[in-house]
Amino acid sequence: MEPLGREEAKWRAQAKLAAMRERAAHLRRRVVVGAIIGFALLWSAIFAQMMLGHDPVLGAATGSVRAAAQESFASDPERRAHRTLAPRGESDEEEAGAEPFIEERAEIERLEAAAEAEAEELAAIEAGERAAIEAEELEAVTTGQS
Amino acid sequence: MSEARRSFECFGGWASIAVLDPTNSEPDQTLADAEAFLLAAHRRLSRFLPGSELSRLNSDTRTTVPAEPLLLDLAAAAREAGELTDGMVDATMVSEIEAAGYRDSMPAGPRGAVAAAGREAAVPREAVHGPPKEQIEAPAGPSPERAWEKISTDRASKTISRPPGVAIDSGGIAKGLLADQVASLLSQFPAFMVDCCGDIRIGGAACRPRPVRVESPFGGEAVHTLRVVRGGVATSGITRRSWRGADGAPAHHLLDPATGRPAFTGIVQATALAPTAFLADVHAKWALLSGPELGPSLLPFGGVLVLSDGSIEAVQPQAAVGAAT
Repeated sequence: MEPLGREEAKWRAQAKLAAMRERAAHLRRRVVVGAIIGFALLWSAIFAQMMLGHDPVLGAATGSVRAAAQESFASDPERRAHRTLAPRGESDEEEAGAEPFIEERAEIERLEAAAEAEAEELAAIEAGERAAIEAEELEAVTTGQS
Repeated sequence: MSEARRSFECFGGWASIAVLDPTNSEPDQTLADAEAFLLAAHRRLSRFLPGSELSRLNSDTRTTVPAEPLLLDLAAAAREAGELTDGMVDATMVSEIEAAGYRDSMPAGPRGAVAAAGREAAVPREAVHGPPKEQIEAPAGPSPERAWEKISTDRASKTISRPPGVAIDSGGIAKGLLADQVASLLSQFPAFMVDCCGDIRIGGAACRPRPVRVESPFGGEAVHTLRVVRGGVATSGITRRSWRGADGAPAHHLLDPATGRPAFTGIVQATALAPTAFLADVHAKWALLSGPELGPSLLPFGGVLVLSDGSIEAVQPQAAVGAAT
């Protein structure tokens, strides 16, 4: 096999390094984008939960409506009776509201797993880069007391 | 692609030169020229050879003495080392080092008297040295005489001026200086290395890292490995070129300029990185003479310190020099 010319060897090494850097940058971008999406989804879910009335601060506006409704409910014996006969109505509403949350959470978990896998792949690439650099190392020399 | 390398005896130890030559042109002539340069420089700058240019300068009774460029470089380097370190690295202590017992060329054996008397034999330092530790381990200081300030060079007239009696010791500064000069001859190679008995200059446009192992002052395994792309690396220590004085106490060649006696500062070996081998040599000595408290701050390009208790401190660089620890 013909030995590589200096320029060719240099060009090949540079091309290899550039490709590795591009791959690492691409993976980094994917990890960052995944993390941002996960973050946004998580906060959307929390916000939705709060707006459903489970937060005393953000749910205050609807809370007062609910309080008024409850007052009306307490003073209306007919409705109170209906409530007693149908105790699962409100629980069903809660379950219906929780469904999207569970889906979002699953999505977040999926994204987190993907990010973890990509981070592992990135670490493997970096280890490869380190190995390539070590392969480029010249013969060792020793410094001692002169 | 392997390197062409040449090793030979010089400066009382071993020197080696390596170049990477991907064009497969014959680097042997370059290496032979570099070897010849170093051997000739040794003959001209050794204070142990009575006929050397340096010996003639040191014994010259004139104030201004004609000098060849190499000797001018050495004299300028002696002045520069003093200026840089404010006299802590003082290359004018010839009479003091001879009084301490270092009169003839001394091969750097694997272990000297200080190492044998110290850590290797596991003898308490107080038992070895007699006086309490706080008295024997103290930072060195500059000489009040500041003889290095009296050296001046004139390249136009090719002369060195200094008061008669002010002598220059090449031992502490010449090897790094010469490694740098040989490096300038090898700059056309993509990678090169010049090792003057442990004072090393590394470079080349290829920017390929080279591991530099730091020898243990007590023998055995290397204490650290640096990875250097370009720049100088030098190590100074008190365990190699050491001996026992008439009183049986360990002595060595790194003197405290303030007292003119061997310095025991708490650091037994200092390795410095710097842009040039000369600067690395100066910083290594400066750090060693300054002791463990100040020493790390005097290695701005990084390095490794070995303390008298055997502990090792890798100093991270404050400024880049193409090296990584």
